Formats: sequence, C-alpha cells, structure tokens
Amino acid sequence: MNERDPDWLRSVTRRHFFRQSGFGIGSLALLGLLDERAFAGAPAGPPAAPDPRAARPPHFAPKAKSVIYLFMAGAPSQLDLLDPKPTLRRHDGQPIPEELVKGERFAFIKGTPRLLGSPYSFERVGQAGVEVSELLPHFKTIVDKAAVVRSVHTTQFNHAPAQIFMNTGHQIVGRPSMGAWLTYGLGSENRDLPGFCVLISGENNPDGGKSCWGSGFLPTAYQGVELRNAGDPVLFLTDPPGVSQAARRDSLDVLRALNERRLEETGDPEIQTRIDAYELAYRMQSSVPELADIAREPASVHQAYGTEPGKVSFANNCLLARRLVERGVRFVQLYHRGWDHHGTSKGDDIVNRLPKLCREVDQAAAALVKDLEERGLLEETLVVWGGEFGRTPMNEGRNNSKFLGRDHHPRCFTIWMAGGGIRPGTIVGATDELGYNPVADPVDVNDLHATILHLLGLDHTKLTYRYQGRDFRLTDVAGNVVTKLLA
Amino acid sequence: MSGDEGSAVSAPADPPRGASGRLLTFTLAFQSGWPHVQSSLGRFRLSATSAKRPFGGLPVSDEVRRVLDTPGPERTEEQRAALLAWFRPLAPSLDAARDRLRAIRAELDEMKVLTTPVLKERAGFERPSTLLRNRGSFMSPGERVYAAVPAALGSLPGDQPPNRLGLARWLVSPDNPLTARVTVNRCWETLFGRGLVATVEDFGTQGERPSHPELLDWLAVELVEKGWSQKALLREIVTSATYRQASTVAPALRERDPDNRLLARGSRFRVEAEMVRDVALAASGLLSPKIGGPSVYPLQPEGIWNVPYSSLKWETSTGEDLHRRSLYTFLRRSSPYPGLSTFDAPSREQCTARRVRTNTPLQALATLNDPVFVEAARALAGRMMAEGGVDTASRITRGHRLCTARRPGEAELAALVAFSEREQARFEREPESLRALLGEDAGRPDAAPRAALTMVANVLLSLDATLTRE
Repeated sequence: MNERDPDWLRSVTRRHFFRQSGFGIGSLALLGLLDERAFAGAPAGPPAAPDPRAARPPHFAPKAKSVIYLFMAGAPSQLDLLDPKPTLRRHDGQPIPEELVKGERFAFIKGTPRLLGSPYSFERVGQAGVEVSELLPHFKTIVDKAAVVRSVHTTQFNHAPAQIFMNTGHQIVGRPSMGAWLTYGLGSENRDLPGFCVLISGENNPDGGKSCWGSGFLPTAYQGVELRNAGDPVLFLTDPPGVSQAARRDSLDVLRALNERRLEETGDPEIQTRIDAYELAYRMQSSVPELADIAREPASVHQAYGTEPGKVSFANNCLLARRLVERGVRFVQLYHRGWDHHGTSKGDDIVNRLPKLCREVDQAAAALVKDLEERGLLEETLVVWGGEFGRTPMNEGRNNSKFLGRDHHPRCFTIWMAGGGIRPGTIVGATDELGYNPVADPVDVNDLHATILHLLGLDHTKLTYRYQGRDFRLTDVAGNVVTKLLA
Repeated sequence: MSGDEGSAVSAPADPPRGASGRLLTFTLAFQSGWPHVQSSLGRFRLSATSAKRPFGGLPVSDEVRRVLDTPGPERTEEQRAALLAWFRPLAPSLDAARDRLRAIRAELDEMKVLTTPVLKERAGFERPSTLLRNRGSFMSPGERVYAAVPAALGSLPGDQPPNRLGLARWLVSPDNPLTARVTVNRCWETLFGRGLVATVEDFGTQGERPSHPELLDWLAVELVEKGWSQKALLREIVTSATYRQASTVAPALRERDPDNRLLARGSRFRVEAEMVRDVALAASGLLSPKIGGPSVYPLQPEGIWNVPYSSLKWETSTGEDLHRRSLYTFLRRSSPYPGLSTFDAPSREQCTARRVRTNTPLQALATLNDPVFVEAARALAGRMMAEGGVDTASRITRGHRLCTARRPGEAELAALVAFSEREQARFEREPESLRALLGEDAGRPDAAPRAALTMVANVLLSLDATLTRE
C-alpha cells in the first residue's frame, strides 16, 4: 500500500503505520514520544487512524525541520534592493531597445518605456561581495548567512495568480500549498499547535487570498491556520462568556468520562482520538495565548526585532515565527503586503514608498535570522524571503505620472534564503546588464519548490497524492533541485 | 450588418428655398460604438426630391419594392405574407393596438421578472468540435475531435444523436450498468461511511475493487428496475439486516476486520461537515426546515471575508435564515466558511467526490466554543426544561436522547446530573457569569438551572456519540 495514498490516511491503523514505515516494534521509545497522549486506562485494541498531524519520517535525512517563509506580497523591486544595474543608471530615461520589448505584454506599461536607473546606492558586502542597497542596512549584517538568488522567474504577471503559483506550483487555485504538502509529508512536531501557521501584516491580505495556504485536494487538516491579529489568535479558542477555566476543565472531564464509556462499549479507536482532540484543544487554550504573548520577551529581543507588543506588524510576526518554530511548528508563513510600487502616486513609488516598506521588514527579517542562529535553530530552520515576481527595469510612467515606479516583471527577480542547509554567503544566478532576463542558472518556481522539499528531506518526485486518477506533486511534472544552493 | 439593404428618407425641417441650381452638400458620418464593427455603407445612392411628401416617408427594401411592383392578383402567397409583415408595424389603423402593446411591454419591464438562463443546444448548428493539442500545446493543433463517450465506456447507442439527449439516454440505458452502480455506491457510502467501492470517485483501473461485487450489481439492477427511485433504494438498504446491526464489536472481530470492510457490524463515522452543525441545530430545536431559496449567512467570526479587491461584506442573516441547514450556507471559494472547512468540507476549488475524515483539536474548539454551538446549547437547555419534566435527571435524559437517540446509562446520567449541580451552584455564586452566558434570559426565575443545563448541553453537543452516526 502506498503510504501517501488517501486511503492510507483513512484506514491504516497507527499500528500498521509504524510497522510499514520501518519503525518496527522495538522503537517504543519513539512511539512514546510521538504518542504523548498514552495514559493509563485506555482500553486495549487497535488504535484509530493516524493523527494527520503526527510527525512522519522524511524520505532521507533532512537538513531543515521547519520553514519560515517571509512572503513579500506585491513584489519588491529587485533592481533597487539586491540586483543593481549600473547600466540602467547610465541610460536612465532612454527608451529601452525595441527588440527587448517587441511583442511583450506588460500589466500597465504601454508603448516604448524608458529605462529607470535605481536612485539608491549599493555596497559590496560579505564574503561573496553581494551588492546590497542602502535601503537594506540590516540585511547587510546577515549577508554571509544567506544565499541570494537573482535568477528566479515565474510565468505569471498579475499578483493573485503569481502568488497562487508561488505557493501551490499552479497558477489556478485548487492545488495544495507548499505548507500543506510539507505537513502532509512530515506532520508536525508539536501537536498543541497547528503544523502550518500563517501570519499576516501590511496593507491588506495577500491578493491570492486564503488559497495561498489552502490544502487543495489534500485533507483540510493540512491547510494553513491563520493566527489572527484581532480576537482569538485561533478561531474559537476562548471559552464562551460565563465559562471559567475551572468550569471548562470540569465539563471536559465529564465529556471524557462519557466518551470513554462509549469507547468501552464500541471499541472504536476513533473515540480515543476524539478524546485526545478535546484534551489538545484544552491545552491549546493555554499554549496559544502563551505563544502569542510576545510581551514577555526581554527588552533586548524587542530592540533587535523592533517589535511593539499589541501592534499588528511584520516585526511582531517575525518574533512570533521564531516562537512557533521553537515549539516545533513545521511551516510558518508571513505575508507582508505593500510592495507593489508602480509609481502612480507618492503612495506607491520607489522614492517614498519603497524605503518605508524596507524599514518595515529589513530590521525584523535580519533580527530573525540572527536570533535563530543564536538559539541554534538556524541550522534546522529554512528562512525564505521573496515576492511573487520582479519589477521592470523601465519606469512605468502610467498616464505620464511624475512619480518613479516599476511595472510587474515575471522574467527575473531576486529572493534570499538562509539556514536549513542553504549554502551561506553565496550568490546564485545572474541577470543581463539591464536586469531584463536571467543569463545564468535560471531558477523557476518548481525548482524553488523542489529545493525547499529537498532541504526538508523530501524527494519532490515522490511526495505524491492520488487525485482524480493520477498522482499529483507540488512540482507536478517539473522542478530540479538547485544544487548550487545546497551547503 | 453585412449585406443588408436599407434606405432612409429624411425631410429637412427647414427646406432650402429656390432650389433650382443650388448645390446641396451631404456629409455622411460612419460611426459605431464598437471600434471593431464595420459600419460603413458598401454602395449607396443619394436622391433628392422637391415633392411635398417624399415616398410616404416609409423605408422600402428592394424585396418589398418587388412585391409592390407586382400587380395584386399576381402576387404569390409568400409575397402577400411578406408585404403584410412589412406593413403591419406601419399601418396607421393599428396605431391603437401598437400603443397598447408598447404600454404592456413597459409594464412588463417595470415588473423586473427574474429569468434564469437555460443552456440550450443550437438547433441545426454544426456539431461542436475541438482540436486535439499535441503535447498540450495550444500552438500545435492536431486532429479534430467531436463529442463522444470515452471509448473505454462503450459507445452511444447507434440510433442516438451525438448530443446531450443522446448522452442522457446512454447514461440511463438499461444496457449501461455504470450509472446505476456508481449511484448506488454513493448512496451506500452516505449510509455506511464507505462505498462498496471505496474510491467512489473512481471506478476505473486506478480505483479500488468492490468489496461485494454481486451486491453492488444487484442493487444497481434494483435501482433501474424500480424506476431509478432513490427513495426505494434507501428503503431497501436501511431496512436490511446489515444496516441495522449495532456498531459495537467484539475485540476478536475488530482484530480480524479493523476497517469493517466485510460489514459484520454496523458502521460508525463522524457525520459530514454540514451535518455537524445541522445535528446541533436539530437537537436544540433551532433548525429551520425550509427548503430551497437563496443562500444564507449564518454566524461567522469577524474578518473572515477580509479579501483584497472586494468590498463584499458578510451580512449575517436574520430570523429563520440563521438556522437553515448548512448546505444553504453561502460559499465563497476564496474565504471558506470556517465551520465547514474545519470539519473537512473542501473549499470547492476542486471537485472532491470523497472527503477524507479527520479528527482534530480545531474541531473540538468549534463544538465547545463556536457561537453557533453555544447558541444551540442555550436552546437545547430551554428544550430540556420545556420537554423534560421538572427534575434535572429527566431533563438531562431528554437532552441526551435528542442528541444521541438513546437514554444515558446510569453512570452517564449520574455524571451529568452531578456536573449540572456543580454548575448550578457556581452560577448561583457568580451572577455575572450567569448574565454573561444567558444574556437576557439571566433575569428569569429559573436562570441558574437553565445556565447549568446549558453547560450540560455544551457537553452533550460535543459527545462523540452526537457527532457520530452509529
């Protein structure tokens, strides 16, 4: 039986699972670790279907255990941040060579656009001599821990489909997101918390909506759980008004007694799972607020991240992300929307708005990497920073706008990755002198997914789920692991 | 329009005087609101006349002119009909009738009658076809293909047209066993939690083989012979000895058939997402039995619909619509209703014929704390008081029966009664908790026992036996 088959989830008992996955009966210690709920008085008999979130072994020894994906929704300008082009500055304001844009479709640009040199200065830093913009002073301090990938490209040039593509490997909604694939493949090491958590800050929710962290055709237990900024961090976490914690404990004891009785009568192991689920829910009622309460972090941490407890910010979410992976959560995804700098007004240009967005994320993202390293977590935590596509080397000039901005550019953009088995202090890929096309080591979205799965110990060609008569993958029929990125 | 003939006669309001020898200049503007629509005249001729009434002011096509040029007695039936059709909208004697028609049409427009577009095959149209795309590339067209039944599933009966009607007849033809098999298998899955073919979505080579092939075929034939009556099929299955078995099981039997594929016992499974809420509403007496109508908006936490490029707001329904069956819940694929997706209902971005059942702490939080369930608990407490006599034990027994269709055992009842008494004492001690839980009902003389029973109801609605069809 294929252990990735949906039926396996439905019908294989935990006993079968351990037998088949090569653990053997001898691994009782491990079984005890995973099966922390074991308690006296549980009746004998085959146990229930496995908890969809129980930890599962990878295909091979992993480099990373967790992922923190900093999704820069709206698409930051690589040309002003991490992929400088002096040629653009030399030819600033000149029309782009016709042959480059012949037959090209842009989201907004019409006619023959003019080249736009970056108004920002760059400095070569770190062992690889990465040129980093003055807008990212904090990134300069972690550049030797990160790999900068300048040749990422996508097929989509509008935000929603590009974000869906970046997250699910397909531009149309309905495929499982990479966090769902990972928790499906590996489960989670912490069963008091969702295995796949989503944190949102910035102007608004990402354009792709909840499909960005959906489970597609995988069981919904694998979808990302949004830790909400307002109200309960997890839906329905708080007891109803007038129900004290003691009353809730009392009611759960009664519930458990009745369920145990039914378990004795029917022998259905699913009842045991349900008893455990209610106990886990009770524990979440204290573990989640404790997790979300960043106020108790020391002042030095707040200073490093730039966090302000009680506010909705990317910095707060970075700190929360660290607290989540510390507790064994498999995949944490942060969305920060606001990078869509077309230059139609002061509110969305690269002179006023881009620096503001950089201030919102640069310090916290760098602090996160350093903090993970100091705690010994960076080795096993993969951090990814990037958007859904790049920006054009040309000024958009929509309706002759006097503000500088760049249109959507799917042909190349820059992301960085750190920790979790990534080769530190390196540059992968290069773009031409105008920053229009990749000229070395192009990395497409499927390659990126294949690499992330590889670092987590999963072979992207083997992590499959049978749906509508065929095996689906996150990378579908494509994807190559980018070996230059591996440590 | 291409190829149409037409004419226009216009009389200037202020005709030029002393016309003889004067030059008249005409400017023709060819304009259309649609830039890609050809709207210029192909060939045209201009004529001017000084007649007081230029040719009746009526547009006359060449065809009508030919009829008019034909002497009356020589006109054919068709010509007469064409002439009448042309003249009827113009005839002054029909002015009154036309006015009435216009008024009635205006009235009809005013009524804004809702219409539903219905797909209809275009009669006499070319048979629909498409091109095969080599290797899936739209740039490399291959052979032209026409609608047909997948070759592995046989072919349309020879005398049937290759259209929707032919397909429908093929689907339900007595010679085609597939439709009935798939239908009875889905029905079986609904009742037993697992189909005779476990992969209800796939009867092909990638699907599982049936556990009881003869039974599947027998049921399929029954369905067809009983005129495709789902009701008869359901009756047949639920009155069978197999369906009526208890779901309790001896350990030895469980060991031999842990998945109950051989159906030596009754099945137990958590009800589907929609039914989880419906069960709570039904037990508490809140469920609206109303059938059909537009989708409704039951209670949903704030902020779920916060999506870019959309100002749509979740306006919570009022009255009866708050408590309709969950299948009437408005579904938005980009922001699924949490009460459904938590219990494994797919987002509907993809067709999912079979849902995988999970058992998670988020589900536990929902039945314990979701305001939908808390409201149901309050209502169930009220129902227990109204229908369960006067003492706590009989009230709780009533509640237990409403949730699980059976009486609680002695020990179960004792545990629930003791819990109720502890809670009642707490609510008597803590009037603010009482107010918080019951709202305006906190002022009633029976408020403390009511609040205590609400807590009992909260337990009853979370019982495995309530959430499980057994």
